[in-house]
Amino acid sequence: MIKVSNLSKTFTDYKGDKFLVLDNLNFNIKKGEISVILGRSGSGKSTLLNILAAIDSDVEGKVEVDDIDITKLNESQKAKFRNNNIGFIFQSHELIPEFNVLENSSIPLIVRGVKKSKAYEEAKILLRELGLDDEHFYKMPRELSGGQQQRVAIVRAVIHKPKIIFADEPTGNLDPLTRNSVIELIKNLKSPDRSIVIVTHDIELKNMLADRVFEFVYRNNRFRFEEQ
Amino acid sequence: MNFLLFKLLKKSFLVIFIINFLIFLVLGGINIAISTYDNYLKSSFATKQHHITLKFIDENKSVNIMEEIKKISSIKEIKTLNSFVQKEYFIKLQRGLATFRGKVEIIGLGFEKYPITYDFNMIDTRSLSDLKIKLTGIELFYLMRNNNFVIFNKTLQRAFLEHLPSTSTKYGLFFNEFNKVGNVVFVGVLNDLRDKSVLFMNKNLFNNIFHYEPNHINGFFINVYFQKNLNNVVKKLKQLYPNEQIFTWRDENIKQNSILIIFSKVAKIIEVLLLFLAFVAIIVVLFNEIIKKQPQIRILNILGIRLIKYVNIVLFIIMLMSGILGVLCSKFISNYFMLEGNFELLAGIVFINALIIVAITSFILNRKIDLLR
Repeated sequence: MIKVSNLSKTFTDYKGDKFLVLDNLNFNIKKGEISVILGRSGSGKSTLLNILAAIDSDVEGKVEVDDIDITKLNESQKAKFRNNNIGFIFQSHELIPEFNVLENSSIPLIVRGVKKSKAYEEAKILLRELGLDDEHFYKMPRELSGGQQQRVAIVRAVIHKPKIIFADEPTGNLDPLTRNSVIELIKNLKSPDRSIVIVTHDIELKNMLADRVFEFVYRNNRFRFEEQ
Repeated sequence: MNFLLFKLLKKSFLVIFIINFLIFLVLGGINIAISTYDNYLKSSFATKQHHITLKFIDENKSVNIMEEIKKISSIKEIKTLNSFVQKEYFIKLQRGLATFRGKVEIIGLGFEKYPITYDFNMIDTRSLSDLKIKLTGIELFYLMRNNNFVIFNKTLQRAFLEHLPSTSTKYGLFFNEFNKVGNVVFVGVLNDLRDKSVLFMNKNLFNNIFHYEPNHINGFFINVYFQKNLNNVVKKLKQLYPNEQIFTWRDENIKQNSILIIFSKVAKIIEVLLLFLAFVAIIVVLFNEIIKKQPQIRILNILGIRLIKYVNIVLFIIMLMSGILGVLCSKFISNYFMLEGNFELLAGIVFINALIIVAITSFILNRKIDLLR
């Protein structure tokens, strides 16, 4: 599903010095798999996630999703691509504080042009499935607990039935109990038509979810990207 | 999808709306003030009827100058206008205080509030006050010598009254004391300045009613047919009356209009400053809000919203709507005062305001804020 070929990413610092973050990465992510990318802070895993998710395309090499090179897309095409193909789960939920639960969860469908009422109906079904009662539907994010917020974020990530779900430290800010329930939820998202890519430094998450594991390993003064 | 953006930025939109609204209220207010003053000038000074005021410093001076003045100028007479109604009327007041039978001529248009023709059978002493019958000394003076009737509309009268205090409003007296048959001409005013109707009567009636003494007049008011004759008439009047005050409508008009011009210029400066401040305020508000909302914008961007397109659309709609509302309000408030051209001007300002703000904001957002792309 995702084919990465000769992918390199260089950053330029404020002095104008260039440094290599990703160096000639080559790997595949298959349909139906949960892939976990491990690495320490600063290893480049979030950068990689941004590239795979068609957020950052200023790179060398190719990232093909179903034979489309997403690094060649313009801003409009990337936005459409993200909306059609990708779901996101963020570390700190990243719900929009101005929107209520229903609005937050149905954003991808509304962006796609689905009627608000229909999008809300879809969102309600999924929210109920994830254990959020009707009484929460019109609450603002600040009125929810961390676990509830993450559920809303998960609904938002899957409501438009994306081919790929990217999760960036999905359990990072959660207490152990909520963390376990979120892990369960992600496990349930697995399907033969969908790839899930999780970026984390949580080894336990890897052990519980991963079909394949990639890791940024620090060796000889630099991070190397390897499949375990 | 616009509703997502609207919800996200609704506070800034509200602030923008309020700024626009206030600005256009202020602009509307300024325009109203200018229009009102302009109208005041027009009602105070005849713009189409050029005239000269001759004021005698010695109030006891005997005046018998009509023939002399007629030699050097033309006095505008009612004969130049068309009659709308020419009919025999019989006037009998309901209370039986006075009756009149004779030829009544109504010439010209009445004030829009009043009908062109009056049903004199309906007039009683109370409703007569609505006719605003005013008789000025110069009218009486001229009427004593001429069976034709001069039009002095209210604007000319007002200018005239400043120098001749012999005006009297006599409607009650007129009908109370009058019980004769004769000719009366009712003269409406040429409605170029929305003036009110003025009633004129022939000399016999005046003599009967007011026992008029022409020697009491201490000034004169002269209509000149063409403006180009003004200087000549003034010159000749000065020769005839070297020690008296002679001033023209043109002088007064220029004096008053120069105030209007200054007022208009100051108002224009204020308007430009206000618009500039509004531009700055709107752009600052919008930027502050967008900078503050960057995390949310980033998330929406990741989820597939290209915000800049929608920022442009919503921005334009908000600007335009608020501007139009502002104009409508100012139009509503100034319903009777606003000159016709000003509305279009203001609408134009609104549209240009909206376009400029949208163009500047879009340009900067496009250039400077990557997140919106």
